Amino acid sequence: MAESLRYSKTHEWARGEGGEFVVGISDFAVGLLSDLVFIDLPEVGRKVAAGETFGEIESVKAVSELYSPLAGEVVAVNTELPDHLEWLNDDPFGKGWLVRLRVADAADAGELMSAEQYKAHCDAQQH
Amino acid sequence: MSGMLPAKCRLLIEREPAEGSWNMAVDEALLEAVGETELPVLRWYRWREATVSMGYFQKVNELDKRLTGLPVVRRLTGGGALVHEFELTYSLILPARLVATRPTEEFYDLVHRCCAECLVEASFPVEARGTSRAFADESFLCFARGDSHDLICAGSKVLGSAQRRRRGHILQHGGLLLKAAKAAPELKGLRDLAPGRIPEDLDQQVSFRIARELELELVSSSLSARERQLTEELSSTRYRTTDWTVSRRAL
Repeated sequence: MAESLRYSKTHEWARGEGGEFVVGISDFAVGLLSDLVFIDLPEVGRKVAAGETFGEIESVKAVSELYSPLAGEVVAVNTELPDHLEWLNDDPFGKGWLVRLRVADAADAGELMSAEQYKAHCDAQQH
Repeated sequence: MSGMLPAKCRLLIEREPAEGSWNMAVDEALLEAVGETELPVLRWYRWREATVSMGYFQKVNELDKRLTGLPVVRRLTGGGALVHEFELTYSLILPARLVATRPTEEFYDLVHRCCAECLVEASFPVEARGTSRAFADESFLCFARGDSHDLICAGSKVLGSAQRRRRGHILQHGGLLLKAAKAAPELKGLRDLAPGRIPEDLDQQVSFRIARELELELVSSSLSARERQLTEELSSTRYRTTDWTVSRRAL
């Protein structure tokens, strides 16, 4: 788990970079998925609300939805990721990033969980 | 199991066959509604005519040529295409609180195990595959693929399932192949593979076992007014549209 990131309850992370936020899914979430086969990401320019579905990922015949942790506009997409799904396992906080968002209000990130809070959230999910 | 968990499971057994678009819309409507009702649902349904259901990420232009004359519907779930003709089809819709009680992939095994127990009692030699089968080029058809969760009979896959996970809730559906579809005769069903007699109430027998494993009480149910309205909307705006079936775009 990366300490400097903010996390959503649905296991997406967000990292502020120069007024924009890079978004991905956590190592915990990737660990719940296995044998990844497809990922669908939004197009650049799409506007998303916080909590809105912006992508989907398939693993072992299960399609899981990906949710935007913040409201904003998609300004970049990791277009190489669909051909390198192993990056999600190997480097979920780096090469496995999903999209870059220009957010409506950067202060919204404060409502996401800290790494410590997110760890407690994951621990609760593991009973 | 915690006393906070839902104690009942709705059982919907639909004897009247329906169009593929309606069947898929019902499953999604139940997934949408389960967040509100918090009640798990077990549904059994039939198909009005032989119909192909494609996995969510599959491409129409890769459709097996033999199947092009059949109605096609895109599922919300992953995996390969099914030809629903001589089949017992189920869906299991689980609220997040129940999903959290075990790893999500275990729900495949739960349903398959309950189905296997009933079929073994009816003298069908079915078992879980247990290991994954590797393919150089994965077949378009689900029953020509193989993974560890499959139920097999005399070496042939007879039950496969797939899931959609949405906000912690799960829709899982799958088909038990009773007999080979005319358009895919190489994929044998139970009646082609073994001499046993399939119990007429197999759907109920399997349901009771699933409910017992989940420690739930089965209650006979039907679609609520809200679920029916959602189904009608999803059927007309999604599952009956070319945008969805061909391009995977919802309106």
